[in-house]
Amino acid sequence: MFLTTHDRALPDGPALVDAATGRVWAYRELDVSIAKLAAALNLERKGVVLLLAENTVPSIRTYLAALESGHAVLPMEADIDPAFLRRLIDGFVPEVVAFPVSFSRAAEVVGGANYAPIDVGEPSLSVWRRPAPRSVPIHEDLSLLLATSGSTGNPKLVRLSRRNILSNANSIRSSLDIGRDERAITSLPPFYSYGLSVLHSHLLAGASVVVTTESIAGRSFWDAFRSYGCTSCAAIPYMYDIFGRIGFERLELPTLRTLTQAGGKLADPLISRFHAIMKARGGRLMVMYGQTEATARIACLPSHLLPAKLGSVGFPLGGGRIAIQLDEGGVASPRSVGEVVYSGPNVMLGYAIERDDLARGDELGGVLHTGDLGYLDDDGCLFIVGRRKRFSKVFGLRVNLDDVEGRLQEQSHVAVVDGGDIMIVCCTAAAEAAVRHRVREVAYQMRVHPSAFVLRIVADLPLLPNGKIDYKALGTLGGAWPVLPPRSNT
Amino acid sequence: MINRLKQAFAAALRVPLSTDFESLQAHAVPEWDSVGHMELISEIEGTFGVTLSTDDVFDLDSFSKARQILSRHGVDIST
Repeated sequence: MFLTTHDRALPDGPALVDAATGRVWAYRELDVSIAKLAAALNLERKGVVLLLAENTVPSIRTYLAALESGHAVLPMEADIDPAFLRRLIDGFVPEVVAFPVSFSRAAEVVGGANYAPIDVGEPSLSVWRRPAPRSVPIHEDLSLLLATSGSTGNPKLVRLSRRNILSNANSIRSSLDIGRDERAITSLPPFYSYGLSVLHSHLLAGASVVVTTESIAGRSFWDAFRSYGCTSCAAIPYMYDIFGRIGFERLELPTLRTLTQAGGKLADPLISRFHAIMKARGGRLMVMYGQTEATARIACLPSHLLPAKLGSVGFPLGGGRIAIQLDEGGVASPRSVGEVVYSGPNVMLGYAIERDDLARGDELGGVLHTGDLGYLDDDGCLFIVGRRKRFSKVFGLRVNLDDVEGRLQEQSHVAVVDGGDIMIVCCTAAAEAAVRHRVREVAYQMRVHPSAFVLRIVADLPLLPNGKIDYKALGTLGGAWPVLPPRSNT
Repeated sequence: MINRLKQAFAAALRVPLSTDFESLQAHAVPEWDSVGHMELISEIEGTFGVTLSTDDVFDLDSFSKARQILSRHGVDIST
């Protein structure tokens, strides 16, 4: 299998557990089924497999089969906007498009683009092949394409190699000490780098993953967690708010040993709270830092350094190195803030915005300018303090604030600034009604909850001499930012 | 009381007050995702001055379920 090294026999134990049916997939069984699927894809040469993925066993098997057969797999949200699917097909010309049969709107799109259905022996998936393969070749190293900005706007993909995936999975396995007895659960989407890294690291370790589409806000998820004996759960910051709301500490989860956290900065009080909860259970909270551009994960804070290093994301994973680059140049001394520059074998090959880019090889040479601002303390622990560019993490989704601003600006003048886990939309009182209406539409298009936007009424939008919005002045206008209350129940 | 519950749903899920709440089910509207659910719990707790348990949070999957849960907490929602 792609995720097991060739010099090692397949593990004897289970690889996947289907929570919907209770069916257990042993490594050997999974391997046979993946090989069958890979053969059924039957492409004459390396192609792009666009997979509208869900956390179901058929989706995951198809994902693994595409990797196994040496294609470049592009996993995307299953329920994407048909117009966005069309843009992906036009832009990246995938040889194969696969999606759950329930997603009938996708069939209209691929049918309209002259794809023809093929039978791969998987009744719950609809698989379509492009009749005339595109002549533009795909670089031999390319294995995985991941979107960085969700399923909106113009797709910009991260190009990842097999080496990227394997090296990151291996350093995650070793930093979290994942053994064969570990069992994760699909708490994160299967098209998201952090979610995939849970799958990759566990399969590489010969451990197992419980596959469920249930949400962490529902009872069924935790019933599955308990009854299948899961040992860890991966979550991004807003999910920790939900854990707080559902009374996580009162849930009976006797097999839980590890909570991991990545996907943005978790507020210090929540780190302290969940560290204490896990410690009391004899387990641990592992605070991590990562980027899709580094396959998934970059750094990890060993739990014994809490609470001493509260707010830090710890040390680089094995094989990686972190340097702080000052704007004015020169070597950063401890505690001086600059751009976090990461070097390691998991740094992406580069970006792709269209099919022609897939022919390109490694353009970064293992060095990633993360765009995050941070510093190292005297012990070499990394602290992230912000972003260089105008990006915001909204409920775990990375959004470009300039892009959101552009969408909102259809009729009225607005400025969008980062508000932590939300976006603050600034506009004048006169524009308020129109902006409120437009926010709802944009939230729907972006597939984020409307509570991700908070309106702030300003007398005037401050402008720079060149006529552009003066974000610095907007930040110092005074008055409290209206912040959404993720209320905790303590 | 029933209107206050409707207002709580409308505010948390960002849906109009004219919504047919009696037939509203979790995940049937895009706004009632896991984030919307947490908003709704907070809104109901704030409006009626109750603290919902883990089971209540999991069980509350429709407008009529919300009425049942509130009545268990001693809030009479029939009018």
